[in-house]
Amino acid sequence: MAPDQNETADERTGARIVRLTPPAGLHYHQYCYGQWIAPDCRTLLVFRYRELRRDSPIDLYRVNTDGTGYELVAENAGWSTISVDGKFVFAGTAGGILRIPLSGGRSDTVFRSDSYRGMSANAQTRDGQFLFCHAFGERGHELVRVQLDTGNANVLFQTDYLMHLHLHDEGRGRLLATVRPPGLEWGIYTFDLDGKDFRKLPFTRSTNHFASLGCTGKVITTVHSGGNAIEIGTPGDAFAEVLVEGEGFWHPTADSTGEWVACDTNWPDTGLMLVHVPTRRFRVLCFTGTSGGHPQWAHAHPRMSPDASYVVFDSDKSGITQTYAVFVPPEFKAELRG
Amino acid sequence: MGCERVARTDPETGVKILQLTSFPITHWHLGLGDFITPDGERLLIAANRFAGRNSPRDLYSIRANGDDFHFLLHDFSGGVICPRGQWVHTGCAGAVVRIPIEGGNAEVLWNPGCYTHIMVSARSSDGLWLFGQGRRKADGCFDIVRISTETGESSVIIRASYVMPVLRGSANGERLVASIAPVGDDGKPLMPWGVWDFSSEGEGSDFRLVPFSRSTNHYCPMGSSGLVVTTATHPGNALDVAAPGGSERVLAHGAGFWHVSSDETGTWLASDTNWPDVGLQIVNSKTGNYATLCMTGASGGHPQWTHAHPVISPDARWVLFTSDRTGFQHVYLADIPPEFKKVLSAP
Repeated sequence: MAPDQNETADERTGARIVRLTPPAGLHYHQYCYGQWIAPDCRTLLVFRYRELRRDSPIDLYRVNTDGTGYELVAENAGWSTISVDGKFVFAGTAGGILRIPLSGGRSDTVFRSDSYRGMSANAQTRDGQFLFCHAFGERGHELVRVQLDTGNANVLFQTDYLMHLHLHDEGRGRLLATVRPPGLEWGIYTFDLDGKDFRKLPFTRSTNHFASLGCTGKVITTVHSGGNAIEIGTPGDAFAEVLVEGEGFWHPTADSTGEWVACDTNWPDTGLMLVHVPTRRFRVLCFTGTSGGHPQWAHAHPRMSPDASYVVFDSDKSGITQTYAVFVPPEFKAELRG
Repeated sequence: MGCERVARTDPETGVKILQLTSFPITHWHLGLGDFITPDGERLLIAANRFAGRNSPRDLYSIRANGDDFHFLLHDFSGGVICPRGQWVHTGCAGAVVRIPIEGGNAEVLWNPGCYTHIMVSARSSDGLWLFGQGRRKADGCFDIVRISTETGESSVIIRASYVMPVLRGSANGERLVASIAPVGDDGKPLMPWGVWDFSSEGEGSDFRLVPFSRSTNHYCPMGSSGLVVTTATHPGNALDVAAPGGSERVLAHGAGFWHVSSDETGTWLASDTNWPDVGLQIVNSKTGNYATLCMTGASGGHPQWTHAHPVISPDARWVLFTSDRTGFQHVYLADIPPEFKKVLSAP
């Protein structure tokens, strides 16, 4: 472990927590878009303010889940995605999408356009053929599909609202986003890789914080109005169902199988919860110490590793937001499985 | 930037506290001057532009509920909000400028050219006059000046080799209070260093010494009462109060009072404490009763950015303070519960 990393045990649960980022910079992990972690579950992407100033450029770094290997990937990068083979990072920039070796090195441009104020690289299909990007500018928001072997790009639809675009059901052919699709009402939808066949999630009280429930095809969201809960919905269904309730669940995340969910809490913060979906039991995994205030850098934004072995989160408990990984003790899983 | 607030509750007193700033750089409020709107809804705060000892300082406006946090001006010095709240007057590059409170271009009101900087810290209650201190390029002394907000007309009230920010000493702004060491045109002392109350009308204006015998030099006018209050630590720990040109008395004692501020009526005071820090105290000046509103978490070390510097709102609804509890000095606002005041008002 490098000298500036630190490892602690949560004071109340004993779970092992590793701070992944150097403490002098403001960091946050790639909490809501893209393929944020390499296929081996060992390397992930984090952002860093280049300087502690509000108008600082923001750079993209990679780091290993043991806190080693912290290296610059790209300067001035937006939301990005790691390629399915784990070799590259597709990084969004104002002028297009760059492809950069995850191990560092020269970048090349896979898509260039001067007509957008910004772009993010949100999802790559499992066959590696297509990259789906969220572009925004004077025309509003556009879903752009880039064919990676040719560089050809198509605008699949335009809209006045598109957020949280990411690959659904572990890449089995659909995308997930909050969107106002052409001719349809605003909501959380899944849609196919041609930007068609919109299927709305039956969420009536969502916080707009949601995630795919692994490969199940279902989606989870947190809800606050009418009680605090995590709900599960199936695209196109009429109703959602309550998975668990009782805590101020805030930002949910799931593993690749859909068996495990992690979720931070607020109002009050009662800890980062580990939820076992089949039994609907949950317990505190750790306390993030984040202040839970208005700025995004005050939110924990947990993301669970595909193999459910750890959860990455942000915390401003040191005064400067850092990215941490908490490792799920096997006995916690055994307890919840019952 | 919009909003950076973080809501907290003091674990000991249950008082609600809003952390108004949270980006990890140093922030502070503007001290004891007229930087809060009379209705207590909006105020000015400052921040280093980046984390560095040599960072320039920038001026911001924010609502008391943490909303509408926005940039006003780079490289400012002091700042007051006009009575109706639409303008901010501040010093910049040796001049006095005004800026719309919602942000925009700075318009030069007065630029005499003879000062390295001018700190604007007070205004008359009608907003027609600004008061501040300009540091003279010629000899490094300070001119305490008044400037017309309508015409830019100005005059020097007194020159001083040492000055703390000029504060409004009476509700209408006819009297000012400052800790100063007055000097003549030749730079020689005119009067002894001390906390002085004086007329804002112009040169040679009816100076009355505030007779503090053990002041920490942390003091403030007690609203419209005409009195001045100071913290006192040698000997003892107390809040002393005095009438300019009159006598002093002990208002409260027993806690290590450090920096004090008053509401517009002079009834309610707020003071942090140190050696030891027993919390931010609210004091009823009529009864002398005081109690802990909250713990600030400020480390109370040597640098100014480790001091809580509490400022009670003109209407005594809340207290603003700074704290480096997160490792960075941020600005916080603690509500004063009505029941808290009720208890302290009881004889």
